[in-house]
Amino acid sequence: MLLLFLAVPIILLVVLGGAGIGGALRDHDMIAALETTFVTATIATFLAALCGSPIAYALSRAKFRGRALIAAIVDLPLLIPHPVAGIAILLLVSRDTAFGSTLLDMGLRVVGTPAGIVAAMLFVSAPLYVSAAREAFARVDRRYEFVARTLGDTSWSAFRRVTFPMARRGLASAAIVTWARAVSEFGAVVVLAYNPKVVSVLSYDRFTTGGLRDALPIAATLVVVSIVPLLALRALRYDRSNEAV
Amino acid sequence: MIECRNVSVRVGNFGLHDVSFVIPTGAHAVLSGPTASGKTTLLELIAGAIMPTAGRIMANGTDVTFMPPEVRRVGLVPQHGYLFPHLNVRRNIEYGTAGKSSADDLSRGFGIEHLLDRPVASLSGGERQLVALCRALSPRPAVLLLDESFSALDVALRSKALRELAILQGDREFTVLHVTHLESDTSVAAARLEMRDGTLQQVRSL
Repeated sequence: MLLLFLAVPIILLVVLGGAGIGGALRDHDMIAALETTFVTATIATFLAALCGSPIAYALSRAKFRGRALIAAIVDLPLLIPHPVAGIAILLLVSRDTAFGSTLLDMGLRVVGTPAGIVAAMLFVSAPLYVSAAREAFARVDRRYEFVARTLGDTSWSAFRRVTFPMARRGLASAAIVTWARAVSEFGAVVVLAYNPKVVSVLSYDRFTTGGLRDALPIAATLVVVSIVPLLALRALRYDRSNEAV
Repeated sequence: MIECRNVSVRVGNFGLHDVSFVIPTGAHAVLSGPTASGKTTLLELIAGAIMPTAGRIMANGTDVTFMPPEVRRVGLVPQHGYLFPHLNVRRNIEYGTAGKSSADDLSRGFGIEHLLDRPVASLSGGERQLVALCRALSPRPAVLLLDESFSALDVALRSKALRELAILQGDREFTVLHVTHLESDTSVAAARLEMRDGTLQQVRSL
C-alpha cells in the first residue's frame, strides 16, 4: 500500500507531463532554471564534500569531548522546516548582522543571487553528506590505517593512500545523494532567492500563475532529472555488492 | 632487539601488567598463551597502536615508547593480513618502499611471484598471509611482529615460509616476535614467552 502511495503519484506525473518534457526543454526559462539548478547544486555538493569530509572522518574515528554536540549540530538542519532554514540563513546574511554587512562590503550579495541558492542548498543537504560519509569512513576498518602506518605512513598519508580510496564509493554515493537533495530543494531556496529561478521554484511559479497544466511539464522534467542520480547510486551500490574484498 | 621494561596498559576492561622481557637482535621468539591473554595487545604496544600507561619499550636500542608507528621500524603482519583491497599484490608489497621495487625478490623467496599482478580479492587466505608478510618485510623493519601470520598455511608451506624467513633474518638481522599456537612454529625460535591473564608467565630459551 505504501509502495503504491509512493510510486503512483510520481508515475502519474511523468505519464501526464511526459509529453510536455520536449517542449519544456525548449523553454528558455526552463533551460536557464536547469542551468542554475545544476551549477548551484554542484557547487553546494562540492562545498559539502570539502567541508563535510573532515567532520565525517572525525565523527567516525576520533573520540573527543563535544563529539555528540558536533553530531547534533550537523543533524539540526534535518529537523527544521526548510522555509525556516531559509529564514535563518536570511537573518545571518542580512545587512543588519556583522557577517552580512561584511559580505556586502566584500561585494558578495547572497539574497536573490546564485550565492543564496548555494547557501540554501548547502544548509539542507550537507547533513546528508556528513551522515553518509561518516558511514563510508566507518566501514573502513581502522586496522588498515594502522598497518599503513607501520609501513611508514603518517596519519595523513595513511588517510590519503588507504582510507580515502577504500571509502571512495561510499563518498561518491554521499555526494550523489547530496546533489539530488540540493537539486530538489525548494523551501529554503525560495526564501533566499526567488530569482534567479531553480527548477523547483520555476515549477511552483508556473503552478501559481498558470495552474497544473503549465506546471506539469516542468515538474515531470524535474522528476526525470532526479532519476539520473538515483540510477548512478544504484550502479555504485551494485558495483559494491559485487566487489569481493 | 625488543625490550619491554615493566610495561602496563589498560584497554577497556583488559590490561597488561608489568611485562618485562628482552629479545636480542636477530633472534626469533614465539609468544604463546590462551585466548585473551594479552598477546595481540602486547604486539600492538610494540608496534605503536596503543601507548602504555607505564614502562618503556625499546626497539633496536631506541626508546620507542611514545613514538608514532611510522618511525619505529617495526613491521606487523596481522592474522588476516589486512591487504589494501584497492591495490594489487605488487603494489601492496611495495607499499612501504617509496618506489624501490622489492616485490620481485621477496615474492620469489616466498613462492608467490606468480601472484604479483593479481588483485588481492582473488587470493586465498594463505596467499594473503604470505603477501602481508612480504609487505611487512619490504621496508626492511628492525623488528617484525607476526600475529598468527601463518595460520592459514598448510604444514609444507608454513615450514617453507619459516625457513625463508630465517634466511632473511640471517641476512638482515631483524628481530622477530611471533604469536602462535603451533608447536611446529617453534622450530626456528630461540626463545618462548608465555602470557596468561595479561601477565608474562614465563620466558625460556629453546
